[in-house]
Amino acid sequence: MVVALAAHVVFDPVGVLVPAGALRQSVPPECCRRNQGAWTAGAVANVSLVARWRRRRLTEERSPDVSDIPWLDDPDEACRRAKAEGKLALIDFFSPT
Amino acid sequence: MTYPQAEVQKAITSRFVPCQINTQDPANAEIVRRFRQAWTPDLRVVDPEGVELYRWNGYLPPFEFLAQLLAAEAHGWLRLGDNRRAAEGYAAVLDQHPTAACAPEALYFLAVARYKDSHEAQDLLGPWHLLKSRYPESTWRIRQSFTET
Repeated sequence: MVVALAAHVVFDPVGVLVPAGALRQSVPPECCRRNQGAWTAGAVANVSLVARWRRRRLTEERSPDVSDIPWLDDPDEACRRAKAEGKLALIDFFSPT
Repeated sequence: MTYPQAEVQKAITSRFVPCQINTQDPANAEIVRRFRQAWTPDLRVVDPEGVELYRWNGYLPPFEFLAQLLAAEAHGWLRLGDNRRAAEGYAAVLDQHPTAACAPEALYFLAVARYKDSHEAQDLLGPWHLLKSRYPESTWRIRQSFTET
């Protein structure tokens, strides 16, 4: 869907029409509007507003670093399981702070 | 900060076999040497034979991490010759995370994956030309700029 551009309208910082599902991750909610049942980024006032919102969202998202991810601690075992499950292995090298 | 997010956990556990290595633990010194590990965070996508297919360094917030994770998996399948699976992954990045930092790279390699599958020139040039309009400042636009006339 193509939405006509007005002088004050920016779709997002790189000019991409954001599809439903991705929109609320990348554009401030107050800048979204419903259009025939689908979210569209039709009223983003300016790029700096989006940038400020993203920085704020980054801060809000920070929480204690706990998760339920079943991390293994042996890359060879991860590879064996990856082969058995038809997946790839993801190895996260980290340094505790 | 990123891993507690439910979407991130789901993406990791559904797509990968996850493994975490504490680089400060002396017991892991041999693994650190073997993978030539130098700086954290350091994430590697490896195939079942232990061959590294893709890597990235540095913290990413959840919405960037999710996009990078999808792209990294797609890179993995591309290097293993599963071009269709790779193309699906790159397309998912562009559908779900079109403003992510790795989106231009995903668009570049979406073209590559489709072309390697079909050998149709338009499958390569079509997505590449979108880089000019969608991500004009991207290094990935530059890397295909020889096709721009």
